[in-house]
Amino acid sequence: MTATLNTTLKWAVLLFFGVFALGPVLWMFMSAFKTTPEILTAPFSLPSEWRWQNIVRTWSEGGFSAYTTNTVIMTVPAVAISVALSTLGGYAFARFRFRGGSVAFFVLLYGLTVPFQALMIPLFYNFSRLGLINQYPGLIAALIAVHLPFGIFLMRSFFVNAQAEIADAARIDGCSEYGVFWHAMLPLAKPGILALTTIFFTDMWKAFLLPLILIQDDARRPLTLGLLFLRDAQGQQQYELLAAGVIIASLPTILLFLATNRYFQRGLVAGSSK
Amino acid sequence: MTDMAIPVGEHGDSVVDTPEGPRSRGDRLLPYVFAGPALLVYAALVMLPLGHTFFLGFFEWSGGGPMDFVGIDNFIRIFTDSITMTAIKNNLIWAVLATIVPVSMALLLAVLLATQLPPGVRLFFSTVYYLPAILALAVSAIVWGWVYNPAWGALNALLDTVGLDGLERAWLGDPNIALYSVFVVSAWAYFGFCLIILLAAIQNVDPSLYDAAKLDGASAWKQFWHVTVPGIRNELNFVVLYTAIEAFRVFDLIYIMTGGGPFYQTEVIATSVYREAFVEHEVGYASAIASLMTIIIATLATIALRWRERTDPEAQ
Repeated sequence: MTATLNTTLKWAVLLFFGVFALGPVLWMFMSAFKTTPEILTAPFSLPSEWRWQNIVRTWSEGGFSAYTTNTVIMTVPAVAISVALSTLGGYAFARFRFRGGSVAFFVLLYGLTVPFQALMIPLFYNFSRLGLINQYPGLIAALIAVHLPFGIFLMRSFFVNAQAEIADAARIDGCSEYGVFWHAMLPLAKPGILALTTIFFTDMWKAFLLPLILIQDDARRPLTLGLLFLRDAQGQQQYELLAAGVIIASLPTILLFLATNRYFQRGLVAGSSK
Repeated sequence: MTDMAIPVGEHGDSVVDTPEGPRSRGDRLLPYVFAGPALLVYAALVMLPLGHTFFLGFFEWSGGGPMDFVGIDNFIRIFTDSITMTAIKNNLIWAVLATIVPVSMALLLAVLLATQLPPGVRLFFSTVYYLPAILALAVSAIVWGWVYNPAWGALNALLDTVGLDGLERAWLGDPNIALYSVFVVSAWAYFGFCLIILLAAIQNVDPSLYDAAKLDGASAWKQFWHVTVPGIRNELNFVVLYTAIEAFRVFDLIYIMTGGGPFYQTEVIATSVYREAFVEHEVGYASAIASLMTIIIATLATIALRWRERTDPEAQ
């Protein structure tokens, strides 16, 4: 009897938090297909008809095609470069002991704790002086820099676990150190690279404060800033456009997460527990 | 530390023997070739600005024009400025809640998910719980801004439906509860991450320890307390440190949902830095607050790492 009660309770708790996690998002997604009067008067009912044109209107009239392009322009190079730099850096710290290495490692370790607020003031004023405000290269460089500590730690843990013997075997076969890295270590670290890519992609896609400081031109806003702009600009009408904007802004990362779920979760665990 | 590039294995032992004497110059440069680019970018865009922020904290500067050296005046001002002190107080409350609420939720759910379940169910729930973390905090802030809307938001509508309309209120407009309303969103956004880490840790606990505990007649609660908790000590330490650090960085949710209001009652350290630097143009003062914030977080991290070294037998 207690066993059944416990099982029921267990499922009740699991489901309760499931509804808590998904409820608000699904509710907002559903509202994207309604009209504003429907949103205001019948918050929980299904849309009287599924108005896909709301999404299209947000995409074209709401400026979300440009916002999405901007987010992609910001995210893709930043992910590619930061994954490459993290992989090389992680390899260096996993495999070599070198002068300045432990100091650099210690500094990176504390880098995980540095709040962006402690960088943003000089970044803003120095970037202004260099004409880098409203420019993607400056934004991308800053995004890369703040993600390097986590990336290097994640890749280091993957390389540490990669079998050292395999590197030895490759060396005996006459490979240079670079050859060892390319032909033996890199393939072994592939799961780590995939995990890091998905983690960085979703994380950079979400960037808010960095573009808030560095991008002031509406035409160059990424999705996160575009949403806020739409919310504050639209005043009292057309709530469905904001909800549609939420769908556009979040669907790419949700789909990527669902597609790479196992890699993603494993990567989080590997990067965090070491 | 040596000046040679010695490849090291997992336990710091030399992987490659070099009986033929000193290694070539090329090999010595190798680590720098690999780590150099990352370290350069990091130094230029993190270390340098960080030092610059500490430097600016000693000046009065509006962002343009002359800079006046004012010694530690900006740091003293932090403790006499009631708005900044409210921000610090709010941030401390937030940090305490953030290390307790999402971590407890995650621990409860991880324990439940680690029990016998049909195949796929565990992955399904961990995916569902992680979904809020996939959303940008900016998106979550807008979603929950709707949930909390006093006129047509889901929360008041739900309370109305179940007959608890006495509890309806302006969740973000009432200075007494606005901070907690925003905090709920933070717990919502972070518990999934904690869950994934803790679930993986619980699944790694040696099953024979539970068998031994059962043989000794330990109750489920005792097994949890004497087997599970010690077994996942490092991961618990990590998620508490992680949520604490994130708590002192909190910005997006507050900035978007309440803007620090009403009446500065939801200001936190990060929103104060932003407001002072970019709205009030008190750049020196903002830098001083940011420096203090950095020191608080680094101190917390140091305490957590020390504690971990002291209590973790493997690390000794």
